[in-house]
Amino acid sequence: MKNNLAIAQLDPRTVILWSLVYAFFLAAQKSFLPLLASLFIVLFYIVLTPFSCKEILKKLKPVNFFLLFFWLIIPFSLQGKALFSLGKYAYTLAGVKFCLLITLKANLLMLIFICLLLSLSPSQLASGLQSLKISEKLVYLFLLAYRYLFLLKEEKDKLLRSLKIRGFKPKTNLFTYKTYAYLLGLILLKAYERGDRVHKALVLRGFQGKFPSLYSPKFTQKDLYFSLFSGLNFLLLLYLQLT
Amino acid sequence: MKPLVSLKNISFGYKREKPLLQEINLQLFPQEKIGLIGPNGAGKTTLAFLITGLIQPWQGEIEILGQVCKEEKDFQKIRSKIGFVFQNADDQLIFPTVLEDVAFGPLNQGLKPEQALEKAKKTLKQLNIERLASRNTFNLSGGEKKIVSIATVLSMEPQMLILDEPTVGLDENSRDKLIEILNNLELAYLIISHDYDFLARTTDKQLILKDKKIIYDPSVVLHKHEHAHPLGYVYHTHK
Ligand SMILES: Nc1ncnc2c1ncn2[C@@H]1O[C@H](COP(=O)(O)OP(=O)(O)OP(=O)(O)O)[C@@H](O)[C@H]1O
Ligand SMILES: [Mg+2]
Repeated sequence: MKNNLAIAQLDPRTVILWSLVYAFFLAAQKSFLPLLASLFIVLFYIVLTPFSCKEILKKLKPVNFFLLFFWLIIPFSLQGKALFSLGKYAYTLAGVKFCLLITLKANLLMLIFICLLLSLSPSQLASGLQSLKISEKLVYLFLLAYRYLFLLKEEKDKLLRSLKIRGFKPKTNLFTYKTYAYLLGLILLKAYERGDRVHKALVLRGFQGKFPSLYSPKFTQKDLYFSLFSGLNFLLLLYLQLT
Repeated sequence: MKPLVSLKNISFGYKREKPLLQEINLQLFPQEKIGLIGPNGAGKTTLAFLITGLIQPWQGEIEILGQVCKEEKDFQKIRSKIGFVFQNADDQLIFPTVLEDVAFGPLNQGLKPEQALEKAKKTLKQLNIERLASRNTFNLSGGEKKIVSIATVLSMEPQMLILDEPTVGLDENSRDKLIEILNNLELAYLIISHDYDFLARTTDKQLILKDKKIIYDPSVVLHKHEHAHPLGYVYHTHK
């Protein structure tokens, strides 16, 4: 990594804990000032991630697309001073404020997760969770899901391709739905069979229900600096909120 | 010399009353390199599952490293001595990075993390794929995946290998590399394959699994192809 204070070099536990602290704090906010201040702080963290601004904006796209619906609906459903009206429905200022708040909040939460959690590699994240005594089963689920979602998608692509090759065109009729139902069934079946084979492979390599972790996280000076920095920021935010 | 694996009168079928394998006898001695050929669906993969205790035979006796193995518990003790490389490498690679995947077996054997890492690195070096250590397991090429999946079992220092159709999907180059790797291994192995030329280059003795039985016919001698010609891999004889 280019940056020697980069988040990927920290103890995953430090990163996970701070992202939780920020997430809870942000989720509880009801006014703009602390949120705007947090936005400012998050910008510092972006420097410590391996992502470019473009990549980060791309990752924020789906959330904002989803939020667009809120902007279209909520201001019509709240009471208050009207900005403009469509027929008898008024687009209210209170609604706009509310939407602005959740948009800011949702983006901030995403940014925190992108900057902190996504900067870690999946195995760092897993070992961090493991040493924080998160249920082992959940950690394995996370690790395996990360690996096998990719394969499920590949399986789906393969099947869709074979449908296309044979001239299948989706329409809104029973035949199409039936085909999709078979497809879904087939994907599940294949996933099941693969699960069986993967389990066999694990057993052959001595797996007895426990994934030993290769990296034991260490709390270093870097973590101390990072925590001090984050702690100061957090105190600032709390102060802003209380006054 | 004692055999590493010895199957005595093994019978098995997935459906009752429909045996797939009948009274199979098979022995693998230290340093012995055996090829197993047979039509699709003959039960070659099934036989490999039986040897490693992933499924239980209807009848017969399986002896591995001089120990009779009956239950899951017996097999657990000897499994790390048999390296099984699956037909599909995607089934074998689980962890996000190559190094972690190769270290998984040694960790299960009870090594400390540093020792396991050391061993994983050594194995990658032995196979000449150190450069893949920090790569993601899922965006490797097919050939790289195959060699990494061999690394994941070699790191456990097995006494024998079972390779299920190792050349499927490999190009000429990766295939040659695999042949070289296998010829440099001082291990006994059993290779299941339809690739006659590959078997001729990597094994000393070839068995045929057909009609529920294993047939050994020393008069059938596979020959290596130093020359290329169309359909050269299809079984044929030069008169
Ligand atoms: N889990 C299972 N349940 C029921 N039948 C199975 C199962 N696995 C395999 N079979 C059947 O057992 C037979 C032998 O399968 P096996 O995979 O051992 O064949 P193979 O010799 O490895 O074939 P190939 O050359 O195609 O890999 C096949 O007819 C297959 O359909
Ligand atoms: Mg097979």
